Amino acid sequence: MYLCVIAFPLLNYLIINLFGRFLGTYICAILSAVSVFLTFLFALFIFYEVAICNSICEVHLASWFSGELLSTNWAFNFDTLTAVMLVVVSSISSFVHFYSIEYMNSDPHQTRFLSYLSLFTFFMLILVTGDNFVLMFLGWEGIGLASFLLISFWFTRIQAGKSAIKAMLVNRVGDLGLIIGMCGVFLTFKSLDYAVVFSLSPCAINTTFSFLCFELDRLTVITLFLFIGVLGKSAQLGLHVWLPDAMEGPTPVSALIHAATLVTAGVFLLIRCSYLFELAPTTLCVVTIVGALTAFFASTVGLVQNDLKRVIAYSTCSQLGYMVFICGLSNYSIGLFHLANHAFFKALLFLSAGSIIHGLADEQDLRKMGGLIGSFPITSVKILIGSVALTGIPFFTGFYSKDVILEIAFSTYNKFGLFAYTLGCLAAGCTSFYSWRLFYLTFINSPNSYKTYQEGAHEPSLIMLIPLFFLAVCSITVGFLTKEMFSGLGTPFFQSAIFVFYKSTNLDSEFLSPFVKNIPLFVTIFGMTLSYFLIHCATTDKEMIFNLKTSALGRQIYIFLSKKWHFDQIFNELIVHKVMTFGYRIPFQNIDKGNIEMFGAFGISRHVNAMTKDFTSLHSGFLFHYLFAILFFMLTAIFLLFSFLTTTSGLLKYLLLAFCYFLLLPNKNLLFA
Amino acid sequence: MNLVFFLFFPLTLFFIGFAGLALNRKNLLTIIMSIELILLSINFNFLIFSAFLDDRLGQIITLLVLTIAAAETSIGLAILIVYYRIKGSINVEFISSLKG
Repeated sequence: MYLCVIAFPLLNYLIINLFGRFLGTYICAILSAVSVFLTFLFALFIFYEVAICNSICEVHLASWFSGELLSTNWAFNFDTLTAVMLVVVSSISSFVHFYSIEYMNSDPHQTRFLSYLSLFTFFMLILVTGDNFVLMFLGWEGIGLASFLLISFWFTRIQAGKSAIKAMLVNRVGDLGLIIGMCGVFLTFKSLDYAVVFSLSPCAINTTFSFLCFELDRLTVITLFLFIGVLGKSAQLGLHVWLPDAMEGPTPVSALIHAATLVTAGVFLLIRCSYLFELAPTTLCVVTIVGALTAFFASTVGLVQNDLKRVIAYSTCSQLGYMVFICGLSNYSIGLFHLANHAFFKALLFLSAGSIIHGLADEQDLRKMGGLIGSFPITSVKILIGSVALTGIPFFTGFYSKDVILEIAFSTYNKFGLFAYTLGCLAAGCTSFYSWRLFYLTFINSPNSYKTYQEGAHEPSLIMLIPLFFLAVCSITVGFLTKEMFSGLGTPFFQSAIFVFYKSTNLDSEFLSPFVKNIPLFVTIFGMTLSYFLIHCATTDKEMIFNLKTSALGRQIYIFLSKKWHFDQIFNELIVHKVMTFGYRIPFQNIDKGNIEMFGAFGISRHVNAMTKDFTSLHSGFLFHYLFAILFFMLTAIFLLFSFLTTTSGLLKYLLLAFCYFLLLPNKNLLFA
Repeated sequence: MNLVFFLFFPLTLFFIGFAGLALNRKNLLTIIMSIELILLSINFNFLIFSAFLDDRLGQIITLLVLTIAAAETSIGLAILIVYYRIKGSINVEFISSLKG
């Protein structure tokens, strides 16, 4: 029963992938939508039983592999954290499956697409339900693989292929960190099971690794390496470069992978390992700083993006920063709360963006839209709901998690909390600005696209609107409905699934002065107003915005932001290009084609050839040369023989032998000068 | 009168003959003459050792070598004549068509 949530997407994937072409596109689409919807129903049931009725369940399926101390099982653990993730993943996934029936129906490879979506869902579910680090890693790599397949779904496009490779490789950097972290976990705790590791984690306080003559704190090192994995998967600053490029896939893929599931895997790992992270204060500081910087960075870059999907991608990156820094401030439950809420409104935004792209002749550029509110009345409302939830307007979903995050950051008594709070507030302002910018540029401002496009613009059919409707309902209600579960005072919701912070700061954040509590709202409204004046009103007064953009300072800021803080450029020039040049010059040119060939088979054969040529050139055809050679070698041989026989010293004998060898080396010039 | 004193003469003769072989770059006839010289020096050697060791075998071998030398010279001269008929020259320097 519990395993159905994992089995259904897998079976769905296998059936569609193996027999898809016998079944036909239509049946495949129905089959996948139904099976993933059933998964969602099972997940809801599990959520009810596990999270609400407080009955944690563990399913031990089989043994996988075991060594001396290491034993790994196919065991699945259903606790509150898993249940929440299950509901999030399976609901978003089923909406996306349903949405893809219509969105991809003119694509020749729709069955392949649906099978990949199911594969992705399967691996994501493995990741969240796994009972040990190994199963988690299986899911972790599996979603990496599925994201590769999905991003490069239109494999004939070179940009899609390149983006997929980039996503895979940048993720691999993080995965390396995760593997090293797992090795550290096993080295310290002699087990990879969550239960063992987390219950033993206090024993590892103040123990050290000896590494290159440094005595490093074990938990700090382990968690830092695990955090590198989080960096890669959750697109935090440093390894974020793959996320915006991964928009090359179809829009439902972006909704599923880059909004709701793949990128949340990193945050999930952070929350899952809360018992480890909690005992490593140094790592928590790093987590806070990186998360806050990511939130700020991504939101500022989002301000000037001109691609509809890229704006949403950067806002995802920014929201992930919020989740990470609140985990760094020890409030993992709030991080999970924001994760769940964010999944709904971000999927809504992406899927709405998909309907605009679908209805507007596959146009993604914001500058070529405008005035679409008449053509897309329903979608515009959906985007409005998504934006409002994203920016944290009161009583929408985003408000309940985002404001709590900022309040807690403010009331944490250290400089990191204040740092995160400042950047978080700035990011909230930017988020508000670009959300409204997107809305104005798409729907309100005067039209900029071709007349034929505008005339052909149409709302999608009901199949695409139904998921949007449900997601919109979720975006409005989920935050309020689950608020008390996740962030209520002294809530027993999480039991022992994650570390829950019982200190006074939660109370402090609850009783902050109303002015401080309202700061994020003020900032949001400020961003909204700014957007109104700069983006909307500027259409009537183009001079002003033009002068603002082309002034010396404005231009520099604009370039800095639109070049994504030059991160891609720096990475390409300082790392990627250098590594590739090194790979070509040193291992390829100097080692493979150089030394190994010189001293290997090729060099030896060439040397032998040269020697043979020298030997044969001794035969000049002249009689007197032959006679001279005969005499010379005869005399030398006699001389050497006598010397060899009469010498008693062993060393001298070897020297004579060596002399013989050099004498016999072909040297025409020596003989016939 | 020791052996070395007597052996010195045929050895010199041998090397003169060999020098005639090795240093001669003109005439094929000189080569045959040099070979004759070498064979003579060897005959000398055999005779000296035969006298020195008081053994008859050396003289027998000398007689044998003489006959062989005669035969060899005749064959050599025959080859030389055939060669001259074909090439029109007996210059050693031009006998180099068999290269390695």
